[in-house]
Amino acid sequence: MSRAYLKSILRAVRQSLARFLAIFAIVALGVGFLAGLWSTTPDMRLSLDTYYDQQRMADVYIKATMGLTEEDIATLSALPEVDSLLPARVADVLVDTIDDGRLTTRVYGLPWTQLNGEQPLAVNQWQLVAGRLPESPEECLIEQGDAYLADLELGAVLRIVTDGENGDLFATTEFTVVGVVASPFYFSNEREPSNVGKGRLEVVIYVADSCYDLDVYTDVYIVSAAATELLTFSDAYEEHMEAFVARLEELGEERSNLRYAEIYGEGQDELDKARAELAEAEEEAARELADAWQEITDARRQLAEARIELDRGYADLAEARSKLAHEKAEAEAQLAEKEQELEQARQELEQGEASLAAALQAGLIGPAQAEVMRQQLDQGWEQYQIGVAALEGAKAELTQQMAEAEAQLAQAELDLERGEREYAEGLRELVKGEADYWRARAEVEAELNSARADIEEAARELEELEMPTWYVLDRNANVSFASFEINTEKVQAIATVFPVFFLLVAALVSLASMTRMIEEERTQLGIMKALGYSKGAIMEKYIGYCGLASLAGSVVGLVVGFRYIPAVIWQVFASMYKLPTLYTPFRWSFALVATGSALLLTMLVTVYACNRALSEKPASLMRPRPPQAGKRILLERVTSLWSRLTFSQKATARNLFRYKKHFYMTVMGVAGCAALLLTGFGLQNSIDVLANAQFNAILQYQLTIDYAEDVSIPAQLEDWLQQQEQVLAYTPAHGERGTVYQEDRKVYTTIYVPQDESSFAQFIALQERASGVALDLTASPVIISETLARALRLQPGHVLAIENADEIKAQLTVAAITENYVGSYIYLSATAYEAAFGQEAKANTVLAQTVPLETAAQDELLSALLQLKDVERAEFIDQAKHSFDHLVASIDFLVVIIILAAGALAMIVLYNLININIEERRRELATLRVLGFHNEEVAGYMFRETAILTAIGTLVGMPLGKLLHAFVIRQAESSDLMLGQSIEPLSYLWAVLLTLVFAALVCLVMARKLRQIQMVDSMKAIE
Amino acid sequence: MQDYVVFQDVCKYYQMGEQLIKAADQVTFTIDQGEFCVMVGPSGAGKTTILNMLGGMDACDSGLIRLEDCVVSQLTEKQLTDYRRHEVGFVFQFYNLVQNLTALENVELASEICRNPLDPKEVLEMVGLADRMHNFPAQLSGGEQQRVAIARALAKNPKILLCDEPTGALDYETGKSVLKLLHDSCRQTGRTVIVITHNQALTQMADRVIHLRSGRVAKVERNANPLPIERIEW
Repeated sequence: MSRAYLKSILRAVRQSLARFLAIFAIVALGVGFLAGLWSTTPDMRLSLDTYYDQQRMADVYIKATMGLTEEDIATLSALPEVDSLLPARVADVLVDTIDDGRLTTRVYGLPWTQLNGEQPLAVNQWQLVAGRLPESPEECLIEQGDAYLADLELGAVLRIVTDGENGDLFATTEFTVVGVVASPFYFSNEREPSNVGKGRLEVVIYVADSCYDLDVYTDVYIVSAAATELLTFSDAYEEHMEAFVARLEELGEERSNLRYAEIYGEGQDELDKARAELAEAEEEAARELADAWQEITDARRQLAEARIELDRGYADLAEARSKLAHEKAEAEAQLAEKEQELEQARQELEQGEASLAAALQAGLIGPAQAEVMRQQLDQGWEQYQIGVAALEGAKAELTQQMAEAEAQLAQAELDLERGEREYAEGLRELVKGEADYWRARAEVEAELNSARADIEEAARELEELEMPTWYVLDRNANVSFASFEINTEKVQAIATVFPVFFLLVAALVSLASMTRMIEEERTQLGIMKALGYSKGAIMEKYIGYCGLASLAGSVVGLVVGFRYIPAVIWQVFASMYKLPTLYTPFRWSFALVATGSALLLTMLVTVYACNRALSEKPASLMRPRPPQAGKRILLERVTSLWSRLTFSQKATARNLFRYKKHFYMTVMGVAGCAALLLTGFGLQNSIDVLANAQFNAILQYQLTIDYAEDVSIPAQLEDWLQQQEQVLAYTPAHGERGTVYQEDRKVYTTIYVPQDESSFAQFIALQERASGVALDLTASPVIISETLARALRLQPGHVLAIENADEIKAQLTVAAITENYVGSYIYLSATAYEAAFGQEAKANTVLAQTVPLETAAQDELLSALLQLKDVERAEFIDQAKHSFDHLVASIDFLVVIIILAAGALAMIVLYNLININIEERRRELATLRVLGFHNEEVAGYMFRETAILTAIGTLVGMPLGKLLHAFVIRQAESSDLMLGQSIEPLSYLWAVLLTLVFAALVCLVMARKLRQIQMVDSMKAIE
Repeated sequence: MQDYVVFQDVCKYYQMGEQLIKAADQVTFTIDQGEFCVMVGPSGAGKTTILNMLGGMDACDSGLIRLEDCVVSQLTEKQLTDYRRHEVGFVFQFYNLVQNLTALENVELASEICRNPLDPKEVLEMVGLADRMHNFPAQLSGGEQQRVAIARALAKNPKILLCDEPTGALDYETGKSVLKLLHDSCRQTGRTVIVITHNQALTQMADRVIHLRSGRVAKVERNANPLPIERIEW
């Protein structure tokens, strides 16, 4: 390359700076966009990979169904592929907080020395965002809050709900938050699913692993030795990880077998021990029962004996009584006999007396005789008196004897009575004893039976013991990673469309510019050819000129594009992720390809333009080029219309078709500009729809309150709801997490079963989007959200496989699809729910409408709510809405970028086109001025063409923009997010207006140039 | 009618680097109405400059230029445009037809914007192009194109027809016929025609010949008996 060559190029640049700048600018724009958009995804991925490497993000983690033993860990760490690992105990639990209610929390139990910072974390190193590291096991770290993770403050106290799911796993159940960390494992704002609570993770905390009441680890996080070298999204990494995962799975099987044997052995031992214990217990029970029975038997015998004795007692008594009576009678008879004898004796004595007295009276007997007789009589009386005394004595004796005997008998009777009582007592005791015995016996047997059943159950369980499994999960199982990967993929998909378009326009602009340049220097070309220069030598200058413009444009485009385009998109991503530092290296391969293709394209068109000119003979080249001939166009056949046109309209009409290059370039450029603008404004519409329709039109409640599952609202809550003036209306519903399966896809969704189907529509509008027809759960018992329907391509009538929170699987036939933009929902009627899952849908959520409230008032209401019994959670949907405000803001930002790009594109293309047009028709325009055309008329003649082309371009741009918009929207959608599908009429208007404004601006600039055309130019010979 | 066109001490200077070029230096002449005037002189004599100034395409630095009762040298740019539009007809060396319009449309291009245009078709018939009026310039020969250009100038019904080397790009015969056309139209319509040429032979057909040299009027000749073009040879 000689100095002269360079000089001639530089001179050419100076002479036609506008043209040079046009090529420079469009190439800069094209290459900048191309390189920038191309490198965006790699840059973002590189940045994440760098962050991952710095934080030692796990490549793989293992979840073992039966836990991991120290031996497992030791085996793992001995693997050469393993760089470092971190065993952990992980469980999802419900946690009570003071200010935020009941939260679904993932608790990581980590080695104490790594938790307190004595040693660096082996894997998944966090960055301490606030507070400090724990100093005691009662302290914990918390993952940084975001749109979904709750934002707890330092000092907050977390209490694990021990009677909740997994609540029994813990030795320590109360923790104080002392630090906030950002872990590479949780950098996305996307919700992590959880199998407890409402199915979405709300808090992640890190505690000492000793807080778990577990001997084994549940998870182990592993950094692979070689993977650090590889870019995490690359195929090489993928391949490497596949092999590594396979290796770990193999090991997992091996270790699981051992673990199985271990658990089985332990179980068997325990079972044997239990069986022995049972046998012992059985024996003892039998012995004790026998003893008891013996006692009872003894008692019964004793009682029988006592009975006999008693009976005998009664007999003896009776006998004694009769004997006594007999003896008494006998004694009385003897006494009576004696009395008679005495009576006789007395009578005899009295007769003797009387005889004596008579004898005396009669004197028959002397005194002596009388004396003797007296004596005899007195003797008799004496005898009699003695006899009476003896009788009296005998009588008294008898009476005494009788009394004594009676007393003895009475005593004996008393004794018998007591004996009887004792006997009755004994009998009662016996009966009770017997009952006790039987009861005890039944009890013992029941106990033993249950023990036997337990053992049998345990034995069966042991036999059914599932093989332990290692779930080896790579980074794809990490929600943050997967989401980032998908979203960067979306960027890549979008990134390939725009820049190609820009490059094509760049090629067109160069073609037009270079053709014009060669036209202008036609004569010079002819002279050089005539002088004997070769084609190549002549071309050199133009190739150099165009190459210089392209190269300079490329360099500027690369420098700006590489640096700023990824940064802008990174900024947009910041609403979705807690992002690390962005790295924007200069990517030589992209730079070379982008610059190369730009250079190649522009040079090819230059060569093409040169060739066309140089194929002419030198002589004809040196003659002025015959002006491009006019041609008749189709429109002229419509004579009635054609004849009404003025000459300049006719000229314009013909010109449109005369310069096809200009036509296509302008239409493409303007269409691109209009399409870009429409896409930008459409994106804004789509997001606005999402924010407005979702949070105002579709979700018409403001507050959700979750409570412990019940059929009716807890009384306290109901009272509160009715008393609160700020609460306008409410409805209870059943809400739970569901998982929809489709082939190998798994989509998380929320199932709602309203208790009052008729009033539910007042809280969540169920309606078909296209038709606006309201949907009714009674008529269509299974309504799914459009987000879900689109993600899984479901139509009414299709069947979806779903699993509810209790892991009951069911098939649902979609009855209707309801408009929905954020989140994925399935609305079921109570009967449909019961039919599908075989259980009642118990209400556990209240949707409430409130008066508009400030944040402070909302917080006040929430804390009042959370103090109510049974209320687990309460949330205003404003909180969800706020996170979308970020998205809206970043889209607005993107729209500005798009408008700027579109403007730049339109300006460059139109400027270049008009510039060339003016250059080409300088003589014509000068002639018009000489003929007395006013400036406006000349401008009109010139710009009418531009205006029509702009109009055509704008028109073409509208469907193009709609397509582009649909494409971009489609890329951005997920099962949790649908963007507004339609573009507002106002956006079309704005896109058209702005396009026209850009065009008008260019025309305004060019009008000045038009005025500067010298009329004397009309005199000049055609050079 | 005397002094239809008046140039009085008209000067026009161009600064070319450090050199001051006097394109017109104290130019003074008059032309009567209906005259066929030829301006001759070598290259750089100031012919075109004078024509431009008279045609309202260029302003003079000093002096007076008048056409009938219109003082051209004092018109504003806007007035100059109207002056060109209504009063002057131009014929260029390279015809300067709009390539994308047919012969007829090129004539209409001019006639549409002025006050008393002639019928374009009639004018084209007059210049002998009745058969070719729907052809595009590229389909016409050079002479035919120049005839279209003349028709375009005539159709405006201008007060004066200014022709800048109208035969410069034409061959001898065609040039002659074009000159005849101009001469005829001057004679038939009584329109003042000024023709610039460097061909001295043409002076024979003019009513008035203005000789220019180095921006000055060297000599003004009146030709009482101009020769018809057919009798002039060069």
